[in-house]
Amino acid sequence: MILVFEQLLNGLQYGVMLFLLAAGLTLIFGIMGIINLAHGSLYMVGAFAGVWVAAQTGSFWLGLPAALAAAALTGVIIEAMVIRRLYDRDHLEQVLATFALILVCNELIVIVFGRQPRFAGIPDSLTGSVELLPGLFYPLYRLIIIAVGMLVAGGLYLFINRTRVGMLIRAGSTDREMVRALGVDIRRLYTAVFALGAVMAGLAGYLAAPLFAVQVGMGERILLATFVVVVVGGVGSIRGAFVAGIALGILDTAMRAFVPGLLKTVMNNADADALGTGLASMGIYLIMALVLLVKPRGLLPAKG
Amino acid sequence: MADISTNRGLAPMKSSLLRWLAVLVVLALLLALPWIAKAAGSSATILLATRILIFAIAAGSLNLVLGIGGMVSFGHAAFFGIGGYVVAILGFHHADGSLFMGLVPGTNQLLIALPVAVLVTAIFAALIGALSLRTGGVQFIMITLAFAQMAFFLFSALTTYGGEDGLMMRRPNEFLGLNLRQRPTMYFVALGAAALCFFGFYRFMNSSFCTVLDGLRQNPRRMAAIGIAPYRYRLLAFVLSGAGTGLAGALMANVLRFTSPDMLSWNLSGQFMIMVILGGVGTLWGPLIGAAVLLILEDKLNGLTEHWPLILGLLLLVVVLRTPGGLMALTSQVTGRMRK
Amino acid sequence: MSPVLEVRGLVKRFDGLLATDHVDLDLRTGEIHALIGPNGAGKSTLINQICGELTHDEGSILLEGQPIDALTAPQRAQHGIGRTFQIVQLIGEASVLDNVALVEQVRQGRTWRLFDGRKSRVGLRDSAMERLSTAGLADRADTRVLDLSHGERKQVELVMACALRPRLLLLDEPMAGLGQSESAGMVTMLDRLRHEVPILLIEHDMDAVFALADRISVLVYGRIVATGNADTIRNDPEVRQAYLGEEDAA
Repeated sequence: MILVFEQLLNGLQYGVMLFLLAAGLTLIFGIMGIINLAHGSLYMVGAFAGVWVAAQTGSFWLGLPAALAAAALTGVIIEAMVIRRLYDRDHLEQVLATFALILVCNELIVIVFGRQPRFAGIPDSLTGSVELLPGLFYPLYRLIIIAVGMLVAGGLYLFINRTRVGMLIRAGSTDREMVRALGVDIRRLYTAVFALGAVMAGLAGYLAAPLFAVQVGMGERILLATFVVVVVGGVGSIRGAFVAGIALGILDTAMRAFVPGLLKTVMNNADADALGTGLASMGIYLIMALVLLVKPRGLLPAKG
Repeated sequence: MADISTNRGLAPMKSSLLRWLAVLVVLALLLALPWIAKAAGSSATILLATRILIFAIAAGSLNLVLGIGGMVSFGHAAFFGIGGYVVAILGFHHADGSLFMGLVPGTNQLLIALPVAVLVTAIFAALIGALSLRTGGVQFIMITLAFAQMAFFLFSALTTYGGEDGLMMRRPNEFLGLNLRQRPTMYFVALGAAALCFFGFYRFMNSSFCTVLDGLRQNPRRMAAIGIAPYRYRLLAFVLSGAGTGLAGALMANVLRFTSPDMLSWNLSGQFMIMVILGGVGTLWGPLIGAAVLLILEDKLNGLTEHWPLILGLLLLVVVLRTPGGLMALTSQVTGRMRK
Repeated sequence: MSPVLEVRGLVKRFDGLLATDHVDLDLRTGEIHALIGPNGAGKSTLINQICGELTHDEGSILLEGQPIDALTAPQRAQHGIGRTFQIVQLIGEASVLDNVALVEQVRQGRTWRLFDGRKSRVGLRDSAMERLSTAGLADRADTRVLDLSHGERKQVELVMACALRPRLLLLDEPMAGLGQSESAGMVTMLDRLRHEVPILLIEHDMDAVFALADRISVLVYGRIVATGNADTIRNDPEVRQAYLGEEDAA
């Protein structure tokens, strides 16, 4: 039972990470109509920049703004130099151009930081565990990730629903032409949305740094899962990204935790491990395929 | 578009004669390549050329759905990998005399393994296509990617066939008493397959079916108004495309004598797309040119700097952002044969 | 004699809004039946339901007495419903001739030949060329559709719709965006066509409508408010109030 709770929390933590990435990605797609494969690169840039600054200054907290700033800056540069030229292109060209961006970003990171994975420490104040239930100790740092993710989700909700820019973003994700017709400087809105998405990706990258190795290619690994979240949630829908992010985060974690064990009851250990891992990894893709077949526009599609 | 023989600058007869002449010259060069390479003392060239031909088959097959059908499949590596695994698994069972799933005996005969690989990938393409084509747009891209990822993880999990480490073949398939271990021999096999495939692509692109498929890409609404429902046409194109990619994978398994889940990775799906775009979407020779340029660049840049993906990425950006139509369009611009 | 097309009690709702409000309409052999109405009255919505692009919520559509409600848009096209679009829909990168030849090819069911050559379609191109000549478009046959003028595209689309040899034609604003002489040309074309195939015509150009139409139906807020010949419609008080009055004001 304790184990189940623990995996549930792990899933929740992974889910909010997915949400942080998917929220930006779904906005960028919903508003600009851009499939941005390079979104994972922003996550990677955030992680590398933050960890580097943290290592130089010895302060986890100084790394945070560095991560956000680096991701935002990269995002704005990418938007201005590449994405802006892709607005009226078809999906194929967007996929290719942003695929090329992945190659460029990965290699630039290699040139600057090298191929060695880096490991970031958890600041002393955030180490240790919290006893959530009798016998259930859970790492404080992971709880903080969950809290930050929820806060960002709440903040994003208020921002989208209560501010003028948020109103434009909402309008833009359902009816691009309408926002254009309103005479809004669409370029600035696009840049702002892209930067916002980049900041959230950078935040996710930096928060994830102490949990995983910071290395080239880390972006792609989570990118595909993020795309699954975006598509399952409904392209352009932040609410969908939140629901699908949390749900898929939990499902994915649970499958990885429990499927090999279940298989061991019917076959030998080594095969069960390999097959279980494989099946668990297939899980979210299978879910996406099923969701798309039943609801081609995703679970909670943006209206319009 | 499908109409590849539209030339306004030159008289049609003369230009088509020139084109066939060019094809013959290139074919002659390709036939002579092993001796040229031998004379130049670089046997690696043969291997590179073999890989180019095989990737050209895959890219050309992808081109059928991507370029002509307008279906952006981000999962074609799955068919490449499945084709490869069919050959490797049949070889595996042949070597130890066991039965696949307790039913099917293995084989090391190329003339059996290749058709089986093509058939199996066609079946998978039919299944994946039948489901994926119920969606469209970005959802189609993502669902094809999802199926490829499922296949990737499935093969990673099959410990019997090497799991993540992949499956080695002790020896390549047997084919008419030839030794496919010899690079020139394998090269000629690949060349023969590529020549057949590109002849097939050529016929396909001029076919009645293709005019319908091309129309569906450009304007499905108009096609519906004249009585064409897209689904079955797109599905057949998808199956043919998958089968062609499977053939390429089966050949590659013979070249490398090894298959691994990497053959199904989304990176490879992306590379196939790059080849098509680089060479020229929807053109006959674009995929061949794209495959050649990409693999030669990779080869040469790799020798120059370890950071070759950076150069490749920048180059790709320039091609996508600056030269719509790829290298085919660029060359026709240069030679003043641009159609616009 | 039973009408070629019959629409009975057709209803279409968008988010509870009645876009098509119990519409009854018929189209008889040899006639041009014009459908007019102010912008947003639901004319295109109605045509799209008849073609099968949109599904209706209630009512029935009959083609030569047979209900076609369950058929998809392509199936209805195969059963002889030809159409043009408000915004021209053509195969842009292909030549004019190839566009028309494609319709001939589809009509003959030659769509599944995977490896036949271009030569096998010479016959199709010949008959397509004939159609283009009749329409006075022969000199544009080799031009790419994207390079045509707007008016020429409208004409090509009409030729394509006819190449289907339909039992009836649904034309969605064939004069829209045409210059005066182009409009006149289109009127002549349609006038000739009426003897070959009955036409349901949506059009804003009132001169064209009054010149061509045997009967006129007026659609306002998704509802047919009047049907009759030109004189009846001109003098119908409801029409004047709802529609022509608005025209005057505009």
